[in-house]
Amino acid sequence: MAAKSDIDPGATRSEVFDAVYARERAPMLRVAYLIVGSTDVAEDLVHDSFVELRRRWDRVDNPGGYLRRTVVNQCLTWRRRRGLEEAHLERLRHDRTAASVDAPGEPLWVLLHVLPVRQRTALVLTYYLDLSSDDAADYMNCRPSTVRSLVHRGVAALKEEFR
Amino acid sequence: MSHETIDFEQELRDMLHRQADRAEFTAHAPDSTTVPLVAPRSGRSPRRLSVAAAMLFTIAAGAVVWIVSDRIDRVRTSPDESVPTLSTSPATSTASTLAPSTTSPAPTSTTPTTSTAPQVRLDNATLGALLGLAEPWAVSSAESLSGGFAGFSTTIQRWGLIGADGVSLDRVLQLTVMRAPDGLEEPMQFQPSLTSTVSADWRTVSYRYSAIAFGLDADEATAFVESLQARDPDNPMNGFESPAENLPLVEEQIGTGEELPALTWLNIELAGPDGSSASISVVDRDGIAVSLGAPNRRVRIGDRIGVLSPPDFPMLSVEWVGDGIRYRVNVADDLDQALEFANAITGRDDAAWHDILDIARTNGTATEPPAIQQRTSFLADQLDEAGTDTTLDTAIDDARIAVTVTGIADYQFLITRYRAVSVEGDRPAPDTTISEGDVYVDPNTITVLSHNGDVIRVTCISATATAARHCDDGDGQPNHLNAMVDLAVTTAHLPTATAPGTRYDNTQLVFNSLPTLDDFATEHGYGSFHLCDYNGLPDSNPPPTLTPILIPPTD
Repeated sequence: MAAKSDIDPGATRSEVFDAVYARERAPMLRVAYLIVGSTDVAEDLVHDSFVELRRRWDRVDNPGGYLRRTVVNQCLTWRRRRGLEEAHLERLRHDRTAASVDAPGEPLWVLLHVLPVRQRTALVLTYYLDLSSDDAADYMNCRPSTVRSLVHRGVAALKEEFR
Repeated sequence: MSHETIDFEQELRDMLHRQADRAEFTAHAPDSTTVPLVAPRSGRSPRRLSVAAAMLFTIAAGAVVWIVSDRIDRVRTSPDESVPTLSTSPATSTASTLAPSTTSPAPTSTTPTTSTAPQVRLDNATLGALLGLAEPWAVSSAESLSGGFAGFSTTIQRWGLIGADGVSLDRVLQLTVMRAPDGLEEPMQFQPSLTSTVSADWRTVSYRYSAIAFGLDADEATAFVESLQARDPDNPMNGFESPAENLPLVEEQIGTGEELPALTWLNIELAGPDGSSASISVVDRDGIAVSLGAPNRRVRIGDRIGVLSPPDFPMLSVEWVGDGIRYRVNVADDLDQALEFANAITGRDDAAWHDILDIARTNGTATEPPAIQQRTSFLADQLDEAGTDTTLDTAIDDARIAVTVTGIADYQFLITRYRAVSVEGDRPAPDTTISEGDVYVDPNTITVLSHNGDVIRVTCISATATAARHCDDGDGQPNHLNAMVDLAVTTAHLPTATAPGTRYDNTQLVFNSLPTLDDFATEHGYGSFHLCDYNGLPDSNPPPTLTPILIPPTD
């Protein structure tokens, strides 16, 4: 997860942003997808994260880290925000139910998305990104012990249901 | 930790990687595995069309766009007919009927063809001198596009009732005909569109048709078109006659249908002392000018000043046709300004403007023609644009974006998941504000068409504020920040389309947030915006503030 300074210092801002976008979009999509369970939502959230990154570009030294933190935060809050939007859109009678989990082929995948989003996020950060509880806590804006607790309870719940 | 737990954790880990690898995402960006960390230095940024260029494109290519557009319905003709003959009565008709289809296919947008001819940019000083514009008006940006959009000779006819002012038309239908490569017939179906008009596009085997009507509803427009009769059944380019006494032919331009050389046009953006702005467009071809608004704003060939936008239209436009040349002036709010610019143009005769266009064609710096931009570039471009005086508009893949921007708050939209999506819209009303969670309510229309049922997201990625057009970044010199002042980075989510072609109006757009101008200024290192007049003196007027417009209560 390189900082801006790791990229060609002769590159223009556009080129640096392009490079970050090209490099980070796919991994960010995968992380978001694992947390929210929907490619559609993941694309939305990652898009929002890039927009946010762009807005704060001048103040961000480590775009990759900022993006990951933003994506995780977006994943943790998207349902709440979505609820606000849906309240406005409800009168329009468009069906905009919460995104269902894509590709429910694997039972464990389905079970994962029954877990609370914070547990799910902690599991993804821990078992997909192989982050330590300290690093995961940084991205989730909580204490490492909280991450460990979330992981412990998440794994226990999955095992219980998966048995 | 038990083996069982370790095994389970490994299974969980494997499952996550499988699922992540399995997910298929929209390929907006090149695959990260094939893109170097540092983007290759291309030596140029993707070509950006200025707002004025986009507007001009809308104007200059409007008829062509309509005609070449694929969002055309199929016409019912007899199998052996390639040319519809529009008769006065069924008894005498040997022609096809033009009936609305109830199962018309979803409209799709077509990006107009661009030539490969280079564009030419004149420096502002040269243009300022050519224009002879005196202070306080100044050329803030200008570009000439030589060989931009190729066109076809079209036949354009207008039927209507001349209003009391002798210029406008109370009820009008404009029909455009263009020869086209042989293709499948598509029916006519009038549908409501922007600016209180109804419009339809359709085609026969060899010709494309486009009609737009004002003051007629869809049924009336359909009936009228069905009543038209071709002067020459073998060649609809020769035009049609209407037997209807109540809607006489008022003007026409008969074309050949042949391909024409690419247009050369000159766009000039100007900035005024009070933060106002305007654009002038000069095109080296005459013809019936198509206004941005309803076709009842009439332009007569030979008129010096032919069209004034209606009072409630957020932009004043004056456009007229000269000898082999067409002019248009767009001004945000002030008719006097429009006329001032118009006078600046008319101070030179058509021949002089042809000379200027020749200079623009030959003496400028050649640049690449407009490029279709991918999302990454579009996003990244915003970074470069902030703080410059270059306005920006863009085309993304096959999407057609026609956002009219001028005045106090100019909005541009980033379309994501953009396949076959088009957005058309006007600027928001002055003093419109969008607060977090608010629905963007505006009397003007932003229409998003979904052609494939996808969820479409529209991100208002930038806005331009008039107050930002002239600001002082600390060096005491006035700067023109008339573009990409990031007043708004906000996103609208649209629900999944219930049917192809579903239209949304902007009351359905839910925006997340709207940073203030000061936020932007602070964020991007401009300090607080120090508004000043054109001479660099502080302006007592505060920056435009945006006041909330709350969504109406839910029923």
